[in-house]
Amino acid sequence: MAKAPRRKRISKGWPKTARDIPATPGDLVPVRRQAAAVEGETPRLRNRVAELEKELERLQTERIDAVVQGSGGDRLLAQQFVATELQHGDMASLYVASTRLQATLRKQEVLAAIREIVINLIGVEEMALFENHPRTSTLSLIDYYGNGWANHSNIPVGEGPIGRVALTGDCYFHDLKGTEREPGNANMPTACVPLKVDGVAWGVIVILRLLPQKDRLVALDYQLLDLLSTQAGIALHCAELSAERAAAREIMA
Amino acid sequence: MSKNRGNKRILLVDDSETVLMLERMILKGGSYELAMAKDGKEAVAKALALRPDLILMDVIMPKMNGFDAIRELRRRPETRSIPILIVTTKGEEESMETGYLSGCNDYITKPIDSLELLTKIRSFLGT
Repeated sequence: MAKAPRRKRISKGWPKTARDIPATPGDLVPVRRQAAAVEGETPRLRNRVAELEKELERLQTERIDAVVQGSGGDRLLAQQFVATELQHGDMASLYVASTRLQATLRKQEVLAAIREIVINLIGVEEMALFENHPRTSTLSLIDYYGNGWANHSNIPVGEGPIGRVALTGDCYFHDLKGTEREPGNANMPTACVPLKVDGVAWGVIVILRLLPQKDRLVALDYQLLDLLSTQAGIALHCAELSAERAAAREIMA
Repeated sequence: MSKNRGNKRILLVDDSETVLMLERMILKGGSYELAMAKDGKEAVAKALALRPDLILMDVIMPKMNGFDAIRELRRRPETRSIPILIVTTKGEEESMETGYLSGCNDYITKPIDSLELLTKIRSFLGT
């Protein structure tokens, strides 16, 4: 009996490098190219993370030094003091966002609260809010801040980053600097976050550009977006139910 | 606003309820007396009535913007020397220049960094 040709052993799990991808027909060539391009990006991103960590450390030290000067020279106390105040600031932002979302049953006021949270607490120059209409599989623009949204009043679900977020319910983040973005280009958002009600996207918040003085989203911004994703959709849904109930009562009367 | 005049008074001016609430939350632990105004006109009226020790002023507001309100406050002898920090969304130099020309003492940019806000307020109030 002829011996079967020995198969090349393929390790389980994701390939570690582009070279680990097994030789295959032509349909995997583009994947290989993409993987190689991503690999090329890795050292640059690692350097950038290291730079940012150094910058963060420098700023923390600066702040601690300032507190040490005013607190009789106790460095440990100063460090704890700064850490507590930072945490207090973050908690304050999250508390304010949550309170604002739950403060009303009027849809326009909930929309205004979402807009204010995104603009003022995250620091955004251009944003939009789309509502999902599952019957027509479209997203319609219901609120925005900044220019350039007039051409994007309707987006099919599944199309582009915004449509895909509505379809999958997964967040989308793309960390480009504000200056590298074109105003009103809905295909290049910084972030798209689904507003979920019972696990389904009621709508999508789109952050197109951050304020000029803000390079990228920070840890608190991700927490605020997470809070919006879980609470803003429910707040809007409740506002709609409340309006429907009021309308039904009027008809009954 | 409580009547305990032992504490320093701060007037918070912003047309956004979200920003006012955040500023209140950040400053709450600092034993300050806090008052609020929602536009430049109300800010001038409250500053004249309450004589705060410091004013935190937004720039873009209805009725009267922050720069005009600062000019008005600097024109009046009763409020001329009150330290004013502007809270601006723009970090650009032009905005800062207009702020300083109108008579503000310092600025902070949005989104508000709680530690920066507290540090600047403490340095002006000596607390």
